[in-house]
Amino acid sequence: MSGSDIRDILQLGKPSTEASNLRRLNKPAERRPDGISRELYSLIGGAPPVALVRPTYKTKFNVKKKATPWVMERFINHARSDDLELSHWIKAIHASKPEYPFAYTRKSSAVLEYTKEEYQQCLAELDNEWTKEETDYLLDLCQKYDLRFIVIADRYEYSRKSRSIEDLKDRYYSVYRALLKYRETSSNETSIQQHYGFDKAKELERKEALEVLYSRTREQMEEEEALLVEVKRIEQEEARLTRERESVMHVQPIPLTTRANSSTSPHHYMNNNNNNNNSSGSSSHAPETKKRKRLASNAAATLDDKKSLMNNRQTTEDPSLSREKLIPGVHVQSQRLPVIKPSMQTKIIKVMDEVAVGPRPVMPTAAVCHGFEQLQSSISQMFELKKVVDKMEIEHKIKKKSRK
Amino acid sequence: MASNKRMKGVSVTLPVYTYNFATPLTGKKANDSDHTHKWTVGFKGFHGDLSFCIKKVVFRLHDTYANPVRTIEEPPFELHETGWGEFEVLVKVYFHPSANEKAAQLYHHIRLHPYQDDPSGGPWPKDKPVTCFLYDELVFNEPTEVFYQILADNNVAGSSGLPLRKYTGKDYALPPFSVQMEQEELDRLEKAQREVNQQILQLRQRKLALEQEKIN
Repeated sequence: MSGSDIRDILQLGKPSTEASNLRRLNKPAERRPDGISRELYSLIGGAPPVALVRPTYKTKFNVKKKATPWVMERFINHARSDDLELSHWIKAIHASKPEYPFAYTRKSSAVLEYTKEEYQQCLAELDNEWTKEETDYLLDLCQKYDLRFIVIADRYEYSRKSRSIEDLKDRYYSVYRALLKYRETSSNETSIQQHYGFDKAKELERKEALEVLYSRTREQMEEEEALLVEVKRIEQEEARLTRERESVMHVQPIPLTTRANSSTSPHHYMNNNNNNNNSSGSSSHAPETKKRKRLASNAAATLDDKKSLMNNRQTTEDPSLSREKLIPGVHVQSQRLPVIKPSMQTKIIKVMDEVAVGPRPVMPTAAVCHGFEQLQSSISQMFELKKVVDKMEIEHKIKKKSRK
Repeated sequence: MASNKRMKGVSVTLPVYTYNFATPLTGKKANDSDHTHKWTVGFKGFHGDLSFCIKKVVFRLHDTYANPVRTIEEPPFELHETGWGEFEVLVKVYFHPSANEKAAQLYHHIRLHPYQDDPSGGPWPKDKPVTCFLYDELVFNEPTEVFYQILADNNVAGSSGLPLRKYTGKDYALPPFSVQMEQEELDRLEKAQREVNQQILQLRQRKLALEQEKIN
């Protein structure tokens, strides 16, 4: 069966030949960008036109230059105590120098030394834990390892005793101090203390603190940062608060000259004040009650205190003493009463009527106005409370019913 | 300028009142116009005639009056007119220039008809004038030094000038305002406050009880 027959049976389409395939492959590659003309396309050499490749520029090896000569040289480091001869590669121009250039790095510190007599004199009683032999051994190590206590502590092997770094340091420096004192050298006392004042306890603490600091967890570090920010903020606030307080306290009260005060006064929260004022009402009381109030509360409350003191007096005297923010200007007393919402107004007036108070005060003096205001606010408070209680009652009833 | 320096923290209260008297018109006048009453409206204080601090008082009447803006520059600060209806008069009080203050505005509702029975019992007699006194206070906050001095000289800063007892005498022109009256009002307010507080307490207790039941 030929291929075409099979295709007829299977109802496949016309076969695509190899040649046509090839043609199809070539074509897309050739005419990719449709926008440009054929000539231009051939000029730029096909897509993609630009390749973003870093130009690698390699310099050609310069064979003309001469090679720098290096020599293997033997040298002696004069800083060393032995005659060790080593060899190293060095450039010919730097070679055969008498001094080893790195000799400067070998510095030795003057390690303490004492004679036997000296030891007997001052050091024998210094520390019972340390014998002369051990001290000698320590000093020997110090000499050997150039006062590098970390190394010394590591190499310390005196009859199975293992001393900590602090122990060794402590012993060394206390020996040094004692000796210096004994020898009474020209250097003054303070320098001795300064340079060799090694405190073991402090050193241990310091190392411990470093450990803790090093091993802090991330949370701890963040916590610390947050706390620092808080502290900063509080300090700023504090500065601002004290400034405000200052400005509030700034106004000086002129002494009050009250007449015999009435015992009744509609200021329920100032009852203690009334009791005070019933005695000789004088300006000295103002600061007293002032002080008491200040103990109990902050500056804002002190203002209230003064305001009610002003209202407390019967009549229109007392030109001062109120530290409330006085708006300069004239106003009419009755016009200062607070406005109530019209919805509440009728209800409030009704309640006031029940308690025999008119919708506006008959004689609006400062005291009366204050009392009136208070009454109004109390009544509105009562109404709000009533609303809440009524709601609760209803809920309660519903609950009861549902339970049954 | 010294006159503009204000006294910090100082407040002076000047008690004043607006008043009006009204008598019904009889005779020929009543028949001519439709005005039924003759009335007087005024502004007064308790410290003399107040000319030391008040420069002038301007009464603004209802627009139906010709030239509703009436200025009175000398005490007694009152105005006589006739009319038939009750309305609100705007009383603007201008102060002495040293005060450096804006004019204060008060309102007075003119009463022509007696709304209460005569205190002696029975209906209001026809010739007795109907009176209406409305008390108020002018509060000067932080007055200028000069003005304060003026006020102090006239005893305003010292005392309120209110009489101690309520005037119940024959002179209808004198207002009833007194220390006694103020005290009565304060007592009333206090009593009312107590009752309201009691109510509040009861409500609070009820609320607590309900809350307790809710938890249980």
